Amino acid sequence: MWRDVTGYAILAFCTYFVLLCAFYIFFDITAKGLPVLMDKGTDFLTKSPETLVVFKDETDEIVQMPMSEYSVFRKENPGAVIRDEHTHSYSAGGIMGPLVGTALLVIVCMLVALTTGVATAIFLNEYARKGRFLNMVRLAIMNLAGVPSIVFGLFGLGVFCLWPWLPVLTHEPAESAVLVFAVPFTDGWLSFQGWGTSILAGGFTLAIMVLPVIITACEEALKAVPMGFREAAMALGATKWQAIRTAVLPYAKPGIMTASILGVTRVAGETAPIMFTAALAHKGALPWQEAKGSGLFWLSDFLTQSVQALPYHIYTVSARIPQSEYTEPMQSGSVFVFMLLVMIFAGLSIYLRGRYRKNLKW
Amino acid sequence: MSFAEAKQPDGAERPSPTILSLGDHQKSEQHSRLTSMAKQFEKRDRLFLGIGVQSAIKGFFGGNALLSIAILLLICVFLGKEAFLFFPDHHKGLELYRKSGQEYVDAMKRQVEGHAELNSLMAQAYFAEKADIAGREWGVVDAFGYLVDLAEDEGEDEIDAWADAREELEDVAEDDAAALAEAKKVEAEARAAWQVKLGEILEEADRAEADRYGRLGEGGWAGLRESMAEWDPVEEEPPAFVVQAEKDLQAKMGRFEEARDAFAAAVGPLNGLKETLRGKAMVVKEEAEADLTAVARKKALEAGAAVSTNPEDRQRRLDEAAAIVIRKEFPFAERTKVFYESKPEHAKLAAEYLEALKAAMDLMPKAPGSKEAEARLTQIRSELPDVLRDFSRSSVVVQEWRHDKPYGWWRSISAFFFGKEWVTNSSWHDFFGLLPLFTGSLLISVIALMVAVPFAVCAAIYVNQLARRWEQTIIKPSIEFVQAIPSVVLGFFGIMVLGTFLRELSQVEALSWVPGFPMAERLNILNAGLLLGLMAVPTIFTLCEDALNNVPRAFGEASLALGASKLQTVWRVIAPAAASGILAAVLLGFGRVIGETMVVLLVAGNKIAIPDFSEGIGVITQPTHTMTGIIAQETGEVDKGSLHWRALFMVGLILFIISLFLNWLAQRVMHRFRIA
Repeated sequence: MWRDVTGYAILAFCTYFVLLCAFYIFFDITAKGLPVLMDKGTDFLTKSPETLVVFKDETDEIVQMPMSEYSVFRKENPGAVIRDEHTHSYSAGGIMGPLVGTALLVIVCMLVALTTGVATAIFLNEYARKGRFLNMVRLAIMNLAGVPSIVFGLFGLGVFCLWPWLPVLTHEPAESAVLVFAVPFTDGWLSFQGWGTSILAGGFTLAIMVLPVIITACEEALKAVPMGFREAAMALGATKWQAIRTAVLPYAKPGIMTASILGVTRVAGETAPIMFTAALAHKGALPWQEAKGSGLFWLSDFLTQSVQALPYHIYTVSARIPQSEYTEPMQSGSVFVFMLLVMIFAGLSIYLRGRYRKNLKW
Repeated sequence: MSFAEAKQPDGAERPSPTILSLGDHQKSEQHSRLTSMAKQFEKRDRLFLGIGVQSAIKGFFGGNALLSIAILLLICVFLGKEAFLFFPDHHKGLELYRKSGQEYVDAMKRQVEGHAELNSLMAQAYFAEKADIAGREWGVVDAFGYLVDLAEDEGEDEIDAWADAREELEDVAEDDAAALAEAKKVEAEARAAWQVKLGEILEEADRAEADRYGRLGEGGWAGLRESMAEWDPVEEEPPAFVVQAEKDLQAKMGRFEEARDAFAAAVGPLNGLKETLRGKAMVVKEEAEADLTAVARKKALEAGAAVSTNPEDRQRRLDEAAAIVIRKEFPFAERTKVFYESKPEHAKLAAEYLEALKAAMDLMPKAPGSKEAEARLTQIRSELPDVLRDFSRSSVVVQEWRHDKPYGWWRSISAFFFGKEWVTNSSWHDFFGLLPLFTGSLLISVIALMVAVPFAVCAAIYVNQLARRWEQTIIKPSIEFVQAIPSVVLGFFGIMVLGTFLRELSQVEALSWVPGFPMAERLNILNAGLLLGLMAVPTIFTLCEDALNNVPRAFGEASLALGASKLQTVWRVIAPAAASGILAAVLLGFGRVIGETMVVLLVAGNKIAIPDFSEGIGVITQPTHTMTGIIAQETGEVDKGSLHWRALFMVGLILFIISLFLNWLAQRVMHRFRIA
């Protein structure tokens, strides 16, 4: 009897210990990050990172100032006493730039990944017959799911950033362009010069990484639609595509939504694939402030901007700059906001899936 | 018949069960909807360019599905291309390494380094012995030095005043009684002032600072302070107490010191030769490399001169271009003559070194007073044969080195896979050896799995078999939350919290028996392994749970019917039946862990060296670097197409292959041992 009890206890302990560890991490990061957020207020979310200047004024009090404020201060008070001045990169301001960058990357990624993911899932579930091709596709998807994210990063760097045969619309083609066409009725060019470090390159890299997740989840959603729906549609004379469009996709939509949110969760948290393909440690302006041209040219220029991204920002501030007490608020604050965002999406996907599965009675 | 296999027109004949089962109140609404749908469906397949719309749509979807295969192939191609180009470049680099004589010098360097290791052990032994048997004397001498510095610093004015007064006194003529008395008085006052100041200084002197290692003991400190009164800051002669301590120290440690010095000096001449030759090899290498780009540089300069408008600048460019000699082949034979000529000298110095080493070993005290010193000396004696063997091997390499001996392909390939050094951006020679990175990745993964597997498997068993329903509805989503924690957040936690916690834990006295404790670094293998373990739990948990779900219910029911308890059933029947699935889960978890980047980049310590396994399991408290980490860290900073860049792609390719292999293995395990 006591054996059963100890066995039971050990198994339960293992389960709850893991949850406890995770809970402790949440708790610790919240405990450190929440005060920072309270302290800095909305500024933390609406300003971009900048250099922090720390110095002692004439009363020996330590003053912290963002670089922009500091230069104004120096201009206005040329005679001010400033001692022990030192600077900390990226430790002042907020995380507006990184937040925007991450959002853009996620949007581009999801647009790409959902299009191909849903299409692939439809093919696998509705069209494909058992055979060698289907096996190969499934094998490829499964293997793709296991590839380390940093390898996707290298791949994205090689293909999306450096491979010159990717087109952009621009008014000033790069010298390295391999092929340039004039776009009729405008003074712009369609230039094959590669995307460089950009939102597009990062978004596509992330999309490839998350593709297996999306495909699997979408397939699950399609499988859940009863066979009778298709048969009924076809009994009414629908072609196969009509049957899919009218009798399958509308009912699979909630499942596909869930899949996309699951994808967002995966993608938003990734750092390695965007390190060389999209993210910069420092960028002064937001992407739309720098984009030039109009119409499609503006869009192309906008999408080929590099951005700051929240996970990369966290990596930068917590490992690539010298640590001190002045850099800590920025670290804890960004980590907290980041974790909160990802957790909200994770929670949403778990909740939606639960609800969706519960309602899955036809 | 599945939907996919249904033929288009035939479908019309089958009644739809779903529609029949609809409730009455929905029927009319549904009916009108169905009629409108049927109308919509009246348009039949049209042809466009001979391709039916339906097959075009199918083609579109199929094309998307093809994309995943295409991506996988593209990854192979892109990584493979760089990797394919890596080996020839790498080979060329190594050939130059041999031709320029760097290989020759490095063989000597290895000899010197082998000695340096022993030497550091010797120094450790020496200081351990000194602390143990002559600790008090050593403490006295050290503390005296500290007090002298302190007194000279703080009592500077008093010392100067006293020194001036004494000079004055000496200069005063003997026969001038008044002046003499005056000078004597001044001197006495200055001395008194100094002594008061000294008293103050000694009063305020921090014992912990003066005697940092606590070697003095009560008597020592008091004695030293008393004796300080005798100290003459002007003549700078130590008081008798300190002189005695110095003498004792010399008596106790003199022989050991002699042995140590002899030991350290043994390698001196060899090291000197190495340093001279090193500089020469460097020059040869730089010139040879410049030779490779000579044609391109000349062309660039001439092209620059052609478009230059400034005649002076143009002339300068032309002169520079003219100065570049284009040789068909770099005269390695001539330039490396100096190395061949140094061979006899090396042989002589090597023999001398061996003799000097032997003499120094003989000088070494047979029975040192300190246990620590004895342990170190024993270590030296036990390691000596290995070091000597390596020494003679390197001697052979030196003697047999020829710049024109062809460098084998197999050697250059194995220099990558089994090379023990990853050195980049070096002015000497860049080495690309995978071994340190691979070892780091492997160690961290093994620790992560050792942590994750028990927890994940137990949790899966618990949730799947034993937990109540409400527990399941809480635990499963919670574990999914754990999976969603971004790795960079975990890494941050590792730096900020776990690292500090582990280090403090390792410094607890009661835990000092744990191998590797106390740990020197906050960021190390253990820290990274624990975090990755937490990351791997959800992956392994989910797959294990699937595996347990797949065990037929009859297994458990049969076992329970035979009278087994629930726990017996779980452990003896259900878990073994799911073993293949669990093993596959572990393999996939391994794949996830070895490919994880951010946590190891932030937490593993990023020291590129094969960890020192001599500590046994304590190796896990050392910092290391990993394959994923090196790509993340260095790829952003290298030139596209350089050897370094290609080496990083090569590492990526190896990671890719490892992940494919693990996937394949997991599949195989799952199929092979599946229960029918």
